[in-house]
Amino acid sequence: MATILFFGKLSDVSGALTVDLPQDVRSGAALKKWLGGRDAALQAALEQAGVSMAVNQQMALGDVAISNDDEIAFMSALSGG
Amino acid sequence: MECFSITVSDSPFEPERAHADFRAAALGAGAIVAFTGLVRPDENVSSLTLSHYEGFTQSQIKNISEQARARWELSGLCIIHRVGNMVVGEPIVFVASASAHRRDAFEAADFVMDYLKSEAPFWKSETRGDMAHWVEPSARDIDDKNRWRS
Repeated sequence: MATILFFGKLSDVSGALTVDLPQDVRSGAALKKWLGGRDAALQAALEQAGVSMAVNQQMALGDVAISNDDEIAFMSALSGG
Repeated sequence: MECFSITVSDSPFEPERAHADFRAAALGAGAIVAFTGLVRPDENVSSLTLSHYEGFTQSQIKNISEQARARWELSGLCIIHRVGNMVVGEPIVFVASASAHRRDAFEAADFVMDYLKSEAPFWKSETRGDMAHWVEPSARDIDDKNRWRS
């Protein structure tokens, strides 16, 4: 099972998820698309400017490989401290 | 003696105590610069909530600390950042740098603060009246950070 986390404004739209990733969802971009397909509000939020992604606590781009062992975080634009 | 530390905590801290502890740990330094940031009494803001990504936030702040160490001669750098709910006037951040000479200490603390304000993974929500809203870095915060590009 993969753990999906949401931070900032995104956390208003979805809480953390524990999901079994479908066979064809094996990249960050595919995950974003899959999550958006399940929830229109989340899709809109994920498409906002400044959203970034981390896989296992490392910054990642859409082409990053993901699996069911991963922790994937979607982060709204950072506020700074 | 070298002293480098990063603390991200939802517990309140006392800047005076942090300063005294840092001064004791950075024994032998010629200069210490310490900065304390407080929750500013902006118009109608009653409280502020800062969330973070446990582990990731700390590692990103460690990157900032390492950049400062690579750039200036430091014998110590202490970074304390609050998360959770805070009220106006409460300490939110403490940065102290120690060096043999004042210039390195001043610049390193300034640099670390500019990066914390613009690039550290925190998400800030302000409450005005009954409404909470998310806050993003100001244009001024971005300009301040860009001063260090060179």
